[in-house]
Amino acid sequence: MASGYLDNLISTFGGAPEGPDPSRLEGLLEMARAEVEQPSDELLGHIQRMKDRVHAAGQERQGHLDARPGELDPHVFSLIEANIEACRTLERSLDGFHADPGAVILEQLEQDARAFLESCDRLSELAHSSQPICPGCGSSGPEPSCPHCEVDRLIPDPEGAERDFEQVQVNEEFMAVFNAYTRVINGQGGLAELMQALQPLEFSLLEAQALLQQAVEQAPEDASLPPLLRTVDTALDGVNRMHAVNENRSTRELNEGWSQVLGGAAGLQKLIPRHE
Amino acid sequence: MSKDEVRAQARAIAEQTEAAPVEKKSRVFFDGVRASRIPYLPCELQEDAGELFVRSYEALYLLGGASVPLTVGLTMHQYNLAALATLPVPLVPDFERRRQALVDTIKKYRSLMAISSFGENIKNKADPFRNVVAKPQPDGSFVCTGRKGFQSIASEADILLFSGWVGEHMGMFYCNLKNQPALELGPPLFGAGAMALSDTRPVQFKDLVVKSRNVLSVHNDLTNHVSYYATAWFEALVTAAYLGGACRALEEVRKFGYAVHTEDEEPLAYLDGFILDCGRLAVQLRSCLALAHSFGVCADKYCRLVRARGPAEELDKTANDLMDCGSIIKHTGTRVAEEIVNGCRALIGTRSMAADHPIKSLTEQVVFGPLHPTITAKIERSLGEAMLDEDTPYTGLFEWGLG
Repeated sequence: MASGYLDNLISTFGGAPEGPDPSRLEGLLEMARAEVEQPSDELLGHIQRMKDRVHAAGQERQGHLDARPGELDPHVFSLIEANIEACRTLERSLDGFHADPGAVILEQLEQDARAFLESCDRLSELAHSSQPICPGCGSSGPEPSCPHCEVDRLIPDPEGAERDFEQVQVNEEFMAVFNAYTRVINGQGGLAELMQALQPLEFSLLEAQALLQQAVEQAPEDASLPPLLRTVDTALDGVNRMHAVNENRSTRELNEGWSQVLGGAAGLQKLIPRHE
Repeated sequence: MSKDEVRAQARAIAEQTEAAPVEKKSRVFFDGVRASRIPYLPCELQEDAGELFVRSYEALYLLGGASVPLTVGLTMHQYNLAALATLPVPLVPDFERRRQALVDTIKKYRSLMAISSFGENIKNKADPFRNVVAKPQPDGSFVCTGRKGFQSIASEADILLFSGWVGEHMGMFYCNLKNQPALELGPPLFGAGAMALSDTRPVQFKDLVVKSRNVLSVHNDLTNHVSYYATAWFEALVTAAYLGGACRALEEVRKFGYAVHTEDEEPLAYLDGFILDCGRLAVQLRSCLALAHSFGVCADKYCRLVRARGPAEELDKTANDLMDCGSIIKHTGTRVAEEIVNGCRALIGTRSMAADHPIKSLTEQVVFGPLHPTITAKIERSLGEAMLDEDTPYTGLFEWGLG
């Protein structure tokens, strides 16, 4: 998943610096500049840890690339390849500074860190693209569907990879939507497949909504009914948001919509036994 | 709702379908149809059955000129959705709610609906009963087993509307058709013939579970009420596809009339005999189009009466008129389509039966028209019996319009 890959990368290394935080590159370099004449063991410890992280990240990215030969768009592939190369160069500089700290190697380290961060920025631009890109290969273009992957291009959701969904036991209709949704997000399936799964769920939710509205009218004193109705309404709103992605192509809306649908499923699960 | 927009969309789809190679015609046609307003007109014109019929008929007629079998397939969706969308049954709130949900979501998801044959009449007397049986379950759902013989647009449609026996009653259900392991589509019934693109197949129901929210009716009265009305829509609408095909044949004659010359270098189109022959065929075509128009008037009157909860007797008479109206449109329209294509073939001659000539496939396609329900003999018997009523002098007039 191209966008997931980019999100991880950015959340690991990117973002604005907040003071000399040695767990971040900018902070570490600031600390190194301050201590270049007499590096402390603490600084060298941070350098070693950063080197290990950069190494692990580079390995992981390389693993992703190797696992999907020929699948990524050439432009995206070159951006990621450049980023991996920047990882390796930075790793060597960090290693060099750790072995023999000094002003010359620090200058090299700063240069390599800049190159690395610029490479990350280029990837970040892609992840924050306002143009739809293919969730499979990362390609963009005038066609709504990627001609190579044959899935729908979507506007990326930079926060998508950081979303945590609660674990809920759901029935087959919710499950079908989840499966189709994850296939869309992972660039393995198209929106048409998702719509086919959404429609039966919407039928069920509409029926539930109508029956609950009727029940509320008939028994206004039953306090357990309004929360149930609100839960169904929320889930239906989520279905609508997911459906609207056909038009707006927004992965964020897709994620938010699914979050609401799942919230509805969880809410119903909690409320229905109490109602019985 | 702009009628010009609907016409333009139908013409564009027809042109694209016409231009597409045979193996891509179906995809081009249905992609165009789904992207257009045509199949969702019933959702937009729920309160205006007359306008709905006219707009739908025109669109199907224009599409029929490009492909009769594909248009017949689309007609299955159109007539069912039109019937469900325009016929309120206020006394049955469950039906009301579910039909509206179905109509709304079909528009929202741009779905197409297939219809299973409502009867399994075409079988040998000795053949076992194979129609679908729906067994009610304690949770309100139904388990459906059995077989339906004819399903057009079987591979294309998203939703299947079907009937099934619930004890002594005929129920009406719907389900999602795609990715449905409990439904097994059989091989295409028309093989590689001229109607192959209608994608008509049998379907086997293998313990299909239908949730209660997908149950439209479990009682004969309601099922008959809706299917009677739907059948009238089908009979009237289906002629659009065949007459569209007939018009296409006439267009071939027109082109032929200017392409071929007499020994005096005069185009055939200038010969009085040729003009008269063409005129006879054009009169037949336009008579049928004028006749078809009457269905919209009658349907509109009937739906207004239903919504206004009109007197039972008037409702019954108008419903019968509507059924008669649909039947005679189908009887005459499909017969005339055959006559026109036959006439065009006679005018053009042997070259019209060349493998790539449109009239070759139209010749094979138009014979299917009279075979759709209600079949010609049944219509003739019904109207014949009415005419020969021993106690009532025959006027032939309809209650709703000319009466």
